[in-house]
Amino acid sequence: MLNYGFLTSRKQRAIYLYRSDKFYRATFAVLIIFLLTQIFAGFAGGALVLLGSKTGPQARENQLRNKSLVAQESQRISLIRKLETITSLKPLITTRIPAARLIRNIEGAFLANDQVSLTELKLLNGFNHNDPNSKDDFTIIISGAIKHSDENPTIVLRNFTKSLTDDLPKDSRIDVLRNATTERNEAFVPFEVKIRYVL
Amino acid sequence: MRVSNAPCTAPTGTSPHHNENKEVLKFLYSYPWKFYLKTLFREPNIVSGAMLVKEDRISILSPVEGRLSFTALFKVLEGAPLLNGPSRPGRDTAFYSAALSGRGVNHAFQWVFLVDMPELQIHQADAQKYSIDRELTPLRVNQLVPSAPKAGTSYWELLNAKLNPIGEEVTPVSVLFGMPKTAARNLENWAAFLGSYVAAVMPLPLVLLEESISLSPTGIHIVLTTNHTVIAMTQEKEIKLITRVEPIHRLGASRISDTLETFAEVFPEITDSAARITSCDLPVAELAEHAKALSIASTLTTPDELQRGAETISGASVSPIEALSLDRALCLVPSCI
Repeated sequence: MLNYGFLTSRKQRAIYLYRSDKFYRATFAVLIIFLLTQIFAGFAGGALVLLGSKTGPQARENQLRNKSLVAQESQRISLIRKLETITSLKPLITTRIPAARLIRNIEGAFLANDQVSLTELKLLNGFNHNDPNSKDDFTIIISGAIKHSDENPTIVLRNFTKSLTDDLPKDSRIDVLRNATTERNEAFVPFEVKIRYVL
Repeated sequence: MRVSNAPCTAPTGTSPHHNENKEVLKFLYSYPWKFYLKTLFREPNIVSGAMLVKEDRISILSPVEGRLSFTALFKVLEGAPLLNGPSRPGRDTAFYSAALSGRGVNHAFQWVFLVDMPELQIHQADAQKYSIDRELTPLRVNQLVPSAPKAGTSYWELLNAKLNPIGEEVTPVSVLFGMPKTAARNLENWAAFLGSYVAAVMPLPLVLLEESISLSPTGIHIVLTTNHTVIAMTQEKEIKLITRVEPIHRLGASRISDTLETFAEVFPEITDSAARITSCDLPVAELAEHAKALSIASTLTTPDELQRGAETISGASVSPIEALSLDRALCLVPSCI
């Protein structure tokens, strides 16, 4: 048995070597895999470019619309703020007790105590329509007088404040600023009561 | 020993890096892209075929439909392989139609060429004097056989006395074969045109001698071709003496007798030995005449002696010894892959 490649060129022997050697054959498999990955990468890149070219106009249109909306928002910012405030105050407005009802309650307390008469009523409200955190803050100052009689005016005033407490909402705070004290024999004893009601 | 594929020893001043680049270039140059592509999903079923190429005729032996088929062409047709020039075996050539059609010569086909040309060289050498584990360079060829001509333009192979690669066993007698590079390349290019490749290029006298030795392990062997006469003496299949002389049609049988007498001076037992004459070129009648003219007893190798199933070779009856020699050549070369 002779050696393979007897009296042939080196090139011919190399061809035989490459054809029969599994290592060299494996180099071809590696090469094919590399080429296939390159082709796959090329296709993937091409698809991305194609997809990008299709979505490009839509993206530009969205960007322009976004800019336009931002400009409109900056132009109408004051209105938006107002709307936001009103939105936040809406539950307060719907549940608040109107001032007229408070005055009616106070009127009821006067009617229940006929010795007590009203001299002046000041009603202040700290409600701020522009402040979304604002609260319905009533301060009512009642200046009145108690008709002199056998009954002690201080007791009459206490009864009057008790009537106010019964008629006004529960969270109301009633303070006597000026007690009805008799200094001289006057027909009417003045007094002052402060009502604070915060919703 | 054979001319190895290993790179030559780097000359002084050549960097190892330079040699690596050369190896990479050589690898890329010889890289069989087409073969790998064609056999990517399936290992090829290699088919071997043998072809005798002479100046005036060509014969071919290869399987056709599972059976060895022999075709002899007694003239060189267009597209046939040439030893002295390039040739292309196109499918429209006369040679392809006459010899290759139906033989399935493609990328999975390997050729074993038998050649007989005057430039073939056969020398007896003493390989024991030299280190056989080195590359067989022209310089080493000249050291082995100082008289060997054209060492630089030939491919060389060294076999031991049992006609095996010398790497297997070093024997006192070795045989050095030389062949012109141009002839071998012509055959390789011809085969490459068909997508096939060359497993070996073998001198016809080598195959005939191997056949003769297998029939007569001990004795004298005379191999006659139109270009060479090879005379060898063997003992138990081991060559003791070998020489190559001019073809018999130039020298005559008397010169062979003279050579045998020279042999007898070294090995006196030659005179008592019988000679075996083997040829596929000369007619039997002519061989018989030469046998008679020899000074020692001789026998002719007949096809019957070589029968190793020659009946399975279709078309072998035209030139049985030639067909059997091609068959023998196929057996001498290992199958690829």
